[in-house]
Amino acid sequence: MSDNDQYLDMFFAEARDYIQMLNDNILQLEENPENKEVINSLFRAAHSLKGMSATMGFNTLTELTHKLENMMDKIRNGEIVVDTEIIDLLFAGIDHIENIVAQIKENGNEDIDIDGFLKQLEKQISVAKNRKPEEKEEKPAELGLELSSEEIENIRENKKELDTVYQIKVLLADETEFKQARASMIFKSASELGYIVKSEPKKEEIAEVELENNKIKIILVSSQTEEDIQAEIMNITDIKEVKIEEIKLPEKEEGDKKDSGESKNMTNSFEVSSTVRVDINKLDKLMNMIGELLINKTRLQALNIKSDGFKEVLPQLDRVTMDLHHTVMQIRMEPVGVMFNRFPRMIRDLAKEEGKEIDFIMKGKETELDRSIIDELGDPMTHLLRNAVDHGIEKPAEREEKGKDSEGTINLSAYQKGSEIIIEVKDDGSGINIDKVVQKALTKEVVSKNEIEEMDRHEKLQLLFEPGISTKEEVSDVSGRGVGMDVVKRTIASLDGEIFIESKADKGTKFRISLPLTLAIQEALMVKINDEIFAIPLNAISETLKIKTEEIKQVKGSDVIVLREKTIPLIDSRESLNLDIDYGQYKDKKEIPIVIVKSGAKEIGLIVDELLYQQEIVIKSLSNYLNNVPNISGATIIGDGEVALILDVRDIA
Amino acid sequence: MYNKDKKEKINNVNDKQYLTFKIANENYGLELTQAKEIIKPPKVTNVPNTEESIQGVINLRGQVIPVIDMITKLGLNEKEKEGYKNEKRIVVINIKEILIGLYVDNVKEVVKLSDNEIEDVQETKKGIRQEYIKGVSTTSDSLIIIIDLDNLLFSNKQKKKGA
Repeated sequence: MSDNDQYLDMFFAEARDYIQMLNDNILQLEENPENKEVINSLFRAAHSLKGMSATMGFNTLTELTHKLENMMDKIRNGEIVVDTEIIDLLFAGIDHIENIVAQIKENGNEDIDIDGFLKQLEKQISVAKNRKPEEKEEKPAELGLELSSEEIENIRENKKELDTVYQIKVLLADETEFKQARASMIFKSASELGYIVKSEPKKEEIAEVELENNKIKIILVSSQTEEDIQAEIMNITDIKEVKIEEIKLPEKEEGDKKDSGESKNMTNSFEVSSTVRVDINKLDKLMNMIGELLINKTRLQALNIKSDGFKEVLPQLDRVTMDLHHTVMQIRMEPVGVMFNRFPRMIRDLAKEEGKEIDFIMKGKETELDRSIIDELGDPMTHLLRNAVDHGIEKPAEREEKGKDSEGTINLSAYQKGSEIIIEVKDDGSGINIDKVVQKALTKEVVSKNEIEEMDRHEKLQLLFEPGISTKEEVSDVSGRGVGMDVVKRTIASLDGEIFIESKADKGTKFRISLPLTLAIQEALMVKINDEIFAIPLNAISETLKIKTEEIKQVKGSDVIVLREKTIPLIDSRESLNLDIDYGQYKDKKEIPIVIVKSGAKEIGLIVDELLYQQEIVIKSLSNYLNNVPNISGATIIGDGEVALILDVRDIA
Repeated sequence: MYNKDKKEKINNVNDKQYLTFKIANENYGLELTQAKEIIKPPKVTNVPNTEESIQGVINLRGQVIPVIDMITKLGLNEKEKEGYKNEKRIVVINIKEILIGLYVDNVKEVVKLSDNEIEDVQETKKGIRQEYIKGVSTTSDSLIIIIDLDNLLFSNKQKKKGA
């Protein structure tokens, strides 16, 4: 293995950032083809990527990025006009970059045939070359030197109150013999008059470049008047003409400020700030170790040593462990934006492909979630959004017929609510056809006819999450990945999250996903069932109480209790765990301990043998060998070093 | 060429090490490379809603691993579960990147057997399913049944508890 290996990881991480940046910028460019800042940022990203690839010796990637960089340069110089064709070409280029990077990651080579694409790029670039002269002709006359926003900022900072910014164009006489000497004299006298912000050719270059059209352009900040400058320069021999204009700096507006702020952000991400890139596996390891620490702390507590020193040190240990846990949790948090950022491009491509007009709005990108959750969430979110475009938003004509705006809207938002993170996907499309869902559920024998009759609208909608139910018959490119809503639900459930759906015909569909802030450690209530200790996550519990046998009522032959005028069904935990053949023992007890647990809108009373205590638990997987144990979501290790199982309340309810 | 010859020589030796243990008075063995460690049984937490042969889960230095009751898994006579009280061990194996504990009556020794010392089995008197057995060795003083862990643990799972 070569020395390169240690740099490969860094290469992949940086490449990912640049690819994302390129995608973002091209999207912005499409919106706003004239925005110089975006083009510059685009150019810089391509350039950096090229540099990285060359250093790592990835030739195909270097060539590809080089060509793209060329193209961006042409765009920057106004030689290529940005239109849909160009945008598509740029996007295709980025896709190729992504593919090559993926290929390198997978098997270390970059054997991807991009010759066809390179030719396409070449064509565009050479077309631009042919177009060059005609455009050039009017350019120098009309446009002088352009100032970048950084340069404008620079001028603003250095300019004194009485200073004026001038654009000076000097034309040398055709027969001038010592052009370079003359040019340097011009620069010398200009720098005596004021401060040269920018020039063409650059001052350092006059010795090397031939003067094009005998012209020199200078942007000068000076306290002198136009006439004085004119006179001063005309003093130099062989000057044919001097044109001077005053340049008004653009007003420092709100919008302007925001723009440059944004561009600053972009450039900032290139800079090395005081952050460290850490492999997520190391963070996982750290989290595991903190879990171990917590378990051992709990065990230490359980020892209950009768000593003053022990009693003193324990709360300290407690505090440090908690701080450590929260800090690592913080470190593991990432803004959901890292996942959201890939969606605008995806929606754009899909909408274009399907001839739909979509306004995609993202909110709450800064909302933070545990990194491992974000990683898992990518696929289900992609699926929901694709569905929204594919099945949700109608074609423009159809929308107009319905009296809606021809442009559909998809909202993606994230926000924190208590200890949960909510992510919503909302579209104003056609809504879900409940009848079709029910029909499919019946043919697939997911439910019986009788069951359907018992169901309300909301329950029928939930059938969508059953395996094999998809409202569109034909498998399109979009949903053809074999992922259904059942997989979406399962993935979210595996993250200890929930998904809810609301839909109205012709009004649209809304998916709401709620997720825990972090996965690894949770508060739980410990209960005893059949002499074993079980943990119930606190976020699933609404309250605990003890009832008397007389309080148990019967509804349709099932036990219920009435709590604040609400009827809550009772479930014997022994029964849901298949622990004991002799259910209903609880009825002989004087007091029956009950945990009221909630899942979505549903509440049930879970009968347990004994309520024990509240504790922080470290959630462990229940071994891959025992997958999907009903009513059990995982395991944890309690004070005495034994394993306690975690009840899956949502499964029981 | 020299290397190749040498390799062949080693292959010819073909000795594999087997860990042997007792389950219900029979000697069983598994390839030593599959065994990770042998521990004294800690308290096993019963896991409801799993197949009968899953005795439960234990805490192995912070990792939760399942423990399989070999008597039930192999379909042996329950009566013979008694005895060996203090000698019972859990053999922790690593198979397909999963740690699994096998609950056995006692662990005996490590023996070296070559492939031709292990015979195919036509039938077993105890009625153990044949696909669970790789072969039988009769070379040492007693008969050793070599378990096919892949088939034992990953062929179709059986009936659920309490059902």
